[in-house]
Amino acid sequence: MSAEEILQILSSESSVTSTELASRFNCDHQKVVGAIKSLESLGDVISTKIETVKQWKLTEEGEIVVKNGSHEYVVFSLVPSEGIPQAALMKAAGSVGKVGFSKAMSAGWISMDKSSQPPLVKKKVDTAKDNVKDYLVDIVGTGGSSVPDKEKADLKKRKLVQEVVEKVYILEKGENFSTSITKAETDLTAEMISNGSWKDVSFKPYNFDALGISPEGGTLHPLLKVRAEYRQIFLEMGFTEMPTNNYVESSFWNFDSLFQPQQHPARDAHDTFFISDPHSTHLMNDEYVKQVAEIHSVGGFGSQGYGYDWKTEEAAKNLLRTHTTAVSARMLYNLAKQKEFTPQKYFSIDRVFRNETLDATHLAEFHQIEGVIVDYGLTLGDLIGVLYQFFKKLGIEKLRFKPAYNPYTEPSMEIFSYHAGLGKWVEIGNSGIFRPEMLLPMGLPENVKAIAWGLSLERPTMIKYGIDNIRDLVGHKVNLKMVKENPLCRI
Amino acid sequence: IKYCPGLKSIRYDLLCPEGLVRALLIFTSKIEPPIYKARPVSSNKLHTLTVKLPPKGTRHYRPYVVGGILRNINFTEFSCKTFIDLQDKLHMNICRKRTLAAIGTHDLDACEGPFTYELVPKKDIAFVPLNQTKVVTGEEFLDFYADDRNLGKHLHVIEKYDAFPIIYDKNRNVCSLPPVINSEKTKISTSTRNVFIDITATDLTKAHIVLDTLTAMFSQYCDVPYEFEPVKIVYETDAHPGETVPTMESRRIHVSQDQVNTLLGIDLSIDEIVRLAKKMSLGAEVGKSIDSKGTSGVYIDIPSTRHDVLHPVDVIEDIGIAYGYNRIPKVFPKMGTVAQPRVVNKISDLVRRELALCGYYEVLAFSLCSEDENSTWLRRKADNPKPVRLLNPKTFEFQVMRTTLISGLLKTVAHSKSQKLPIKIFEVGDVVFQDKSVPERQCRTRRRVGALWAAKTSGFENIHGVLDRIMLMFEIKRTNKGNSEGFQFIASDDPVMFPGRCADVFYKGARIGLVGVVHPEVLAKFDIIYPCSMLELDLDPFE
Repeated sequence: MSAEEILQILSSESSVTSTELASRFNCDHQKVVGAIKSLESLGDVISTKIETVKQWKLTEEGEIVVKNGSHEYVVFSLVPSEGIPQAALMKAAGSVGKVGFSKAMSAGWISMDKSSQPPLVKKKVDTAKDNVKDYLVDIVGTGGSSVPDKEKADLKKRKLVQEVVEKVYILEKGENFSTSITKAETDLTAEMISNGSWKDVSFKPYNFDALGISPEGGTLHPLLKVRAEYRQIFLEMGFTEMPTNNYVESSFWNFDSLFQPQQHPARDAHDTFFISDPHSTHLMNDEYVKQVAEIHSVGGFGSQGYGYDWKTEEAAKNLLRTHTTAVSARMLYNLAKQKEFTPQKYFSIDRVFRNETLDATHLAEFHQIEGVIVDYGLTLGDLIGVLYQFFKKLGIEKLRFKPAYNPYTEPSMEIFSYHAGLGKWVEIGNSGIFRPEMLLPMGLPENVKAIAWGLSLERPTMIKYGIDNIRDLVGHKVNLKMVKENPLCRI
Repeated sequence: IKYCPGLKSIRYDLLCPEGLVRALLIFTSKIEPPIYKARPVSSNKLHTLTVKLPPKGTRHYRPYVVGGILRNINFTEFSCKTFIDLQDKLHMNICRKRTLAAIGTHDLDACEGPFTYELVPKKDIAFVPLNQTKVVTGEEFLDFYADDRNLGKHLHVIEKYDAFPIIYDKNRNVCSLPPVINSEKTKISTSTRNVFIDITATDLTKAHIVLDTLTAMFSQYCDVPYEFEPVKIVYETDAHPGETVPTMESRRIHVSQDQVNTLLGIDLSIDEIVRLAKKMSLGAEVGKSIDSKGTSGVYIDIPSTRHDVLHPVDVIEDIGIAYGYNRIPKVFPKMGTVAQPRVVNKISDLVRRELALCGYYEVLAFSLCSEDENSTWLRRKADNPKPVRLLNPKTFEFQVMRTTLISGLLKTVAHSKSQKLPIKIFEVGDVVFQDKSVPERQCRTRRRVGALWAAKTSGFENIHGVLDRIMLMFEIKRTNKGNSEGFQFIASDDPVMFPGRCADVFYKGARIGLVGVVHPEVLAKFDIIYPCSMLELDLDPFE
């Protein structure tokens, strides 16, 4: 039997089943099924339908019965007319003796004559009809349709037959039916290309439903992919990056230089990480420190100040910066020390620290995005204009501004954008014009104004990637699978 | 009572419904801003509050006091509640939980002036505190309130002293023991007609703000609205020369038209500026020009409720708010600037990309960690190098600023047990350590790269390969020891690594990092079951 022979049969007959083929070729059904499977893989050469069929089949023991007769018949045949001692009979019958003897006894074919010594087994009837064998022959020949169910059950119980469920293939011609087979190749090889055999071979159809093999490459972290986009936007808009790689800052630069009074709640230990070692800093720039002390305690430059007792020790306390505006303050101070003032655009995206109670949206450290523009005569209109430009690059066109309070900006504005998904206005950042009490003590010219805005990096990233818990985004408990499968950041 | 949460936190006059309603009525031009007037009482008839804090020349821990009187007030249940409520809000807010200033309010008909503010030894104090029925002595006082959820948290102000501040009336009745409690005797109720307010403080400016705010808001319920009676404060110490408060006087500043328009970026006429300022409860009238350009200006009278106004920009912001931020035309600053990224960040990005191309996943650990994670778990000494230590962390997770990226990478592996092997991760980040030679901050920051390989076998050669790759990308060749041009790989024995499987990396004669197989004892501390190889390098030398 070969696959071609099956095709030969199909070329003359419209339909044939696998069981028919097995009996025609007189071979095992499974072998036929194998041949059909390989024909199926050629494409539409044949079309198949599957039916499940229950069939009675002989067990190995059943095959022996068909060959030799039932065990009881074998035993019956071995009994001579004069009788035979049971032990001798058993020896003659071999492995089937025990079962055959009891079955022949219960069938009434033989009996025990206990009158002689030793007792003899004698035939009780002259001839016996071997029904068991006949039934089995019937099952082999015709599937056993004429055998009563009760008998079948009995045979099954005697483990002479078993019921098997078989898949039967019904074959018909396929669309590309042909009686000849060209072996399908699975893949294009270098050899085929060099010897040109690719032109003559047919290829196994590709299973496009299967998954590809995942590439071995690495990935960048999702939050830093978003950081790269923001950084790119700032650079496109002509902003210079500030040196923010200093997490440790003095209270002076983090708060005092920003005109944030020393009793301000943000300077509380509940909000800010102070440092035990090195606990405090040596404040430099004596002249500037004096100016800051004065603007806080008694005012100046048109301001009445906060009217409190400003303490150097409080300003000297080290902390982990609570915002990158501490760095902006240093930049503006350095700019003021320049021989001649030049307009500047600055930005930074870096870590800041808050001594907060951690929850799903708050961590003790997060990234702040900050932009600062400093030039003569900048107005609130400039700030609004820049914010529209900046957020437009992020794909946000609808903005609204709300008055806010911030110790170092005046005016101060909260930035809101319309979130189409949430269907409402959401706060996306803070902005303002730095107070004269911050800029003038540094020594910047009076009509120089600095406009600034800030937002967090984590929040927009969480919204973008639909992450609810910030700890699923940053920190060591992040699932690497998320890092691996996180999509490109295209804003 | 809760109001609009978006209000500016320093607008103390908007913390009560009285102030909020008043501001809205003025904004919508329904009423004129009120004018506060002192009751016509001749100065020798004024109540006095004398500060008798011994001895002259020494500073008391709560040196200042102010006071004021509201006569013929008509409380309702509502206004009595808002009066208490405003005090609570001021205590929480500007008074910084009563540390900077603390308010006491009394039924003036239950006590009698003149009043004194004294520092009294504990043993000499005995009174019935507010809402109590029994006398509590000064000796019992701290224990009596120790477990009180609301008042107990203010005890820290006085607990370390033997003498407590007391405000007495003429008959030595205790009015209050600031900043903790008033007396039951002078309790305010809806039937109270005359209110005496005392405010003790460490910060006199804040005391004035609080007094002005209470007076401005609740004088509206007096028979003659917005009338108040001042109190004469006499200091027997040298803390202050003495004063009569409140004055409720407005301050006059001048704002030029040019200042307004150049800060906001709009073009308002003088009349418009006046109109908008008035909407914001500010007094405003056209004033003569003061600036060199000769532009005209406006005199702004800042009422005593607006202590938040420090500078003309605060007035200009109010004018901007009245005008509407969303109506301001947008412009884009005309500036030709050339953008400049930081070199250290560019180098970091190049290395990050290279490591991702090498098949490593980027991780982002916290820069704060525990002492153990940063040193002893790594088999390293605690102070080599010395980390920056936090004073007030809320958890053990955040004790120090990391001095190495190693622990963050190991923690990440420990949490990646379900990942397919090998686990390949990296991080580029800053580490910080103390360095007394750095002026001002006394600590140094380093940009580092760390990479880790974890699998069934150590895979040292893979991490070695990553190092070679980084050097190849920076065009740094491997050279022999002593040749300062290239990089060298010199066997070392950092305790974090397995003995004999650790090398220092030298570049231009300086050690810039290490490569090795992580010591099994370190792995055990971090609960990691696979062998790991890793490298850590400074990136600053590549700039």
